[in-house]
Amino acid sequence: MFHINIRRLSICSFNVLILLLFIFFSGSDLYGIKQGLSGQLPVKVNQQDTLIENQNLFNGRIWRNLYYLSEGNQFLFSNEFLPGSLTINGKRFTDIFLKYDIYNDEILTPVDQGGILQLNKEMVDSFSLSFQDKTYKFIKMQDDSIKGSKKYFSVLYHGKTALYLKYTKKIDKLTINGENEKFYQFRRIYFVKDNVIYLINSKSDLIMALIEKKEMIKPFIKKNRLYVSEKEPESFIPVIRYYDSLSH
Amino acid sequence: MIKKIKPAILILMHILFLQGLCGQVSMNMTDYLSKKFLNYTATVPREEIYIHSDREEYISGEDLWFNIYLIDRKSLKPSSESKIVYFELLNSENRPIVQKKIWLDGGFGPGQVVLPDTLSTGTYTIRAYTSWMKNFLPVNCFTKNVHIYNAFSSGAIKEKTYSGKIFGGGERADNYPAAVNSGLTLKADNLKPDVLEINVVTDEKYRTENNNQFYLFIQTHGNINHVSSQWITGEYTKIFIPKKQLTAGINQITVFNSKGQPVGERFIYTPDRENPLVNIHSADSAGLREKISLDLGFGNVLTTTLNSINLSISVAPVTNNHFTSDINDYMVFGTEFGSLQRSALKGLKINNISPEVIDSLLQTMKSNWIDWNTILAADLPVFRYQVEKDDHYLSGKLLTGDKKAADADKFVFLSRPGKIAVFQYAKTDEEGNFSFRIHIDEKVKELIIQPDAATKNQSLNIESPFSHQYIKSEISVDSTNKQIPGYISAWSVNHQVRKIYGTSSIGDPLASLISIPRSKRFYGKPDQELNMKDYITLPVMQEVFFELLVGVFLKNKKSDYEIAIADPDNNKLYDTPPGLFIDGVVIKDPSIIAGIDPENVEKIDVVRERYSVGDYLFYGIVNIITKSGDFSNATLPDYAIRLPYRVIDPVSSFVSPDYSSVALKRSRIPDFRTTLYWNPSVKPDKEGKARIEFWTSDFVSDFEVNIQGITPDGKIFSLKKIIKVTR
Repeated sequence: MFHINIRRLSICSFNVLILLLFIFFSGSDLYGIKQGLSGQLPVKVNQQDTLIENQNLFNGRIWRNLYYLSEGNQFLFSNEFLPGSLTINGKRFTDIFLKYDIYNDEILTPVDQGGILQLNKEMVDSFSLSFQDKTYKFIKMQDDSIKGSKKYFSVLYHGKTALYLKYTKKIDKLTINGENEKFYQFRRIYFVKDNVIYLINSKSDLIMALIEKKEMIKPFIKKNRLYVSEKEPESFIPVIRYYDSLSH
Repeated sequence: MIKKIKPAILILMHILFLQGLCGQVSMNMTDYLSKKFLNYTATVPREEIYIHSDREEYISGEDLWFNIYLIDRKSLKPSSESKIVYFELLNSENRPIVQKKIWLDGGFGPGQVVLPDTLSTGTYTIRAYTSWMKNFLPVNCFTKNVHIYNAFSSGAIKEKTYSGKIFGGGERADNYPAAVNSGLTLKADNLKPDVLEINVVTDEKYRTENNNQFYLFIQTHGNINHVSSQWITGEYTKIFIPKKQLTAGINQITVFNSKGQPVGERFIYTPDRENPLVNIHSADSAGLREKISLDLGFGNVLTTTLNSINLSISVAPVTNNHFTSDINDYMVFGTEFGSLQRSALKGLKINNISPEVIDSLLQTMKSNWIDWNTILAADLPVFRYQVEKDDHYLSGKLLTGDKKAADADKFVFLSRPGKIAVFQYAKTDEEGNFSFRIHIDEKVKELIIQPDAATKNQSLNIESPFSHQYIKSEISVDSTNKQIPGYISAWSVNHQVRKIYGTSSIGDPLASLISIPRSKRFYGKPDQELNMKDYITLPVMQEVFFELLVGVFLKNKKSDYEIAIADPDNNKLYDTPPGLFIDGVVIKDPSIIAGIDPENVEKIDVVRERYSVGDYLFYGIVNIITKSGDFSNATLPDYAIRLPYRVIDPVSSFVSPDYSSVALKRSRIPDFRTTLYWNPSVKPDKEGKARIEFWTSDFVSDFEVNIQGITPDGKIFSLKKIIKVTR
């Protein structure tokens, strides 16, 4: 008896359930409420604004890979596009995918049509790349050697003084006729003080650049047992930060 | 087993659903209304403009000095959003007499216009709006009538009255559709000192249909003051809201039925309870050519914001006009409720009007910003005009040969002749409209606008940034006998004397604070930069291309010319011609380049690779840079427009004589300034004090010191003082 009642009830309640489900899902409309309450109202998209932004961002030559036969690649960190951001003519663009060609010192971005653009370097002020949970910031500034040519430098520290890293790749020709080529990477550390650029090849180069505070910096390194080496350019940062704190 | 417990699970689910349904609705509705409201006010912000002018009566030919305040309606703080205000002086028939584009720095923008001396005596209207406000014209703009008198035309002043979306003229506010026969009546009693009493009367039908429930929402200029769900216990429901919950200003009380539809609305006024912000100390009278010092002190203002206060000050003769506007009174209503007929306030300050009179005034109102029909709609309206924050929008329409709108997605190019090539394109929408963004500065720019694929008889219409939407106005018949005030003849003499002696208050242009970005070649570093001076002069461009340019070919093709570039990848010519430019201006006809005398060419830039700007692709680029660099060596095609364009107008400073030296004080040159002093940007020091000094003129009159201003945190203030100038 109980069994039958439950069955009857379950059949009946199944119908009610369907009705309730209908009310539940359409209830919002019944109450004048549309779905997606938590969502934003439709964002006003101005077609012309998007066009202008795209003209600023997607401005460059259609890229062709001239080194597809070479061993390795010309890019920093990875041959894949990495997430990053860009500042072009003072305007910041986020959530962009970029590749940094450190052989030619150019940055590339994919475009909707499936192509790749080599961005107009005259327009780019700075960019950043995220790789292995770390964000690397690059700014465009005057190279120490070639006048008139600006290059991208990784910013390690920027205070009263600054510490930059220049990533470069070169091609090593494996055969005499140059048919087989191999990319190899190296980096240079630059310290900038009072608009003078110092190439830092060793810890002693850095100490020499900070010569006027040398008597205070050496005990600072010793006291704090700091590891300072050109092998890890980031290890220069505490020393430079301390130097900046000394100079008012 | 599962089969056995299945019905029990179903019953449990039913109960849970029912609980959810009953529990959620009342809580969600208040959240829903708040969320919709907040999203709306964030997405559709309201800008208001107030203009403080040195006077409200002028003589034709005089200068009109003003300061613009752009204020965010929600926060009442100076708005840094829009950077350009469109200022107009309209005649009695709403025809613009003067138009200026004024730059705003952090919500403030000084300006000055010279009134043409041909203006006839009459009522003129100052009107001002931003690009964003154009979406809500003709109502959402500042308007103020000024009287202008012409010394050589007699007659009485005729007042200008407005019709349409006004209040104070007896027009009833519209009802919401669901309010009709809803069975709910809303009343608000605002006459009690500390509490607002809201009375909701419902009939049996309402109570049954709405489960004995309604929702109450009170907001003031975009700020939520109160949201609640209310249960009805009988025919009459009373709700008491402490007045301290209400923001000063016009409070909008809206009642919603259980479905979330607005069914009743009332407006009340809550005065600002804060003490006066600014005080002024000065002598009450002065002689001719005597120094007057005004000492301003600021009271209840945060010390951190003291030197960020912006105020404008005018010292001008006292007039018969009792309807002079104050920024704090103006901002109570702004333009949110239409154009306020000043006569509705009978020349009184709002705080001096009895609550009963204000209540009756508010009966006829409706907010044209906070409209719940729009707020609750599934989609927001699409706005045509954007906020001009970083750039100015120059819009136009591309028309076909038969003057119909061109199809959508047609490219239109904007070039600026110069030695640095700047390129921008726009695409037409479904109505043939396009718009370009232009950097906001005072520089006059040469703009060349042309369609990409020009067809016969195609034409471009460039739209004026000034709006043609006006509030309907008419000349009041009743006021035809209003006589010209007696002091106008003295003012007129002042103006004539100043004209004869060539004295003026217009000083040097104010220094521009806008930085102009350095132009960069849109195509970056070219593959070849050919400097003509490095080579011997060749007789024709065809030889220049043949001898000096790599991978670029200029050839004869029957009677025409063609230019082609070889793809550096495979040395084959691209199927599509390259982008051709002369001084950065797009050229479609290669014969124009072929016809240039190489003597006039300074440089040729060549990009041989395919180059993309947005989704426009060039199959190589050739830019001929002439020595003049101004595109004067070529003729524009008929379908292109060359337009000298200035985004904002320069503004002059106000100058007045300094009689600190005896020689100047005894000078025989008469000084008949009508406006003694004008300063659009007085800033107090860190201690909240400001001293203003100026000299009286040779004009004997009572002068009104009129101070209007706003603090960075949105405290608005107005202050006036009379100073008698005697012999």
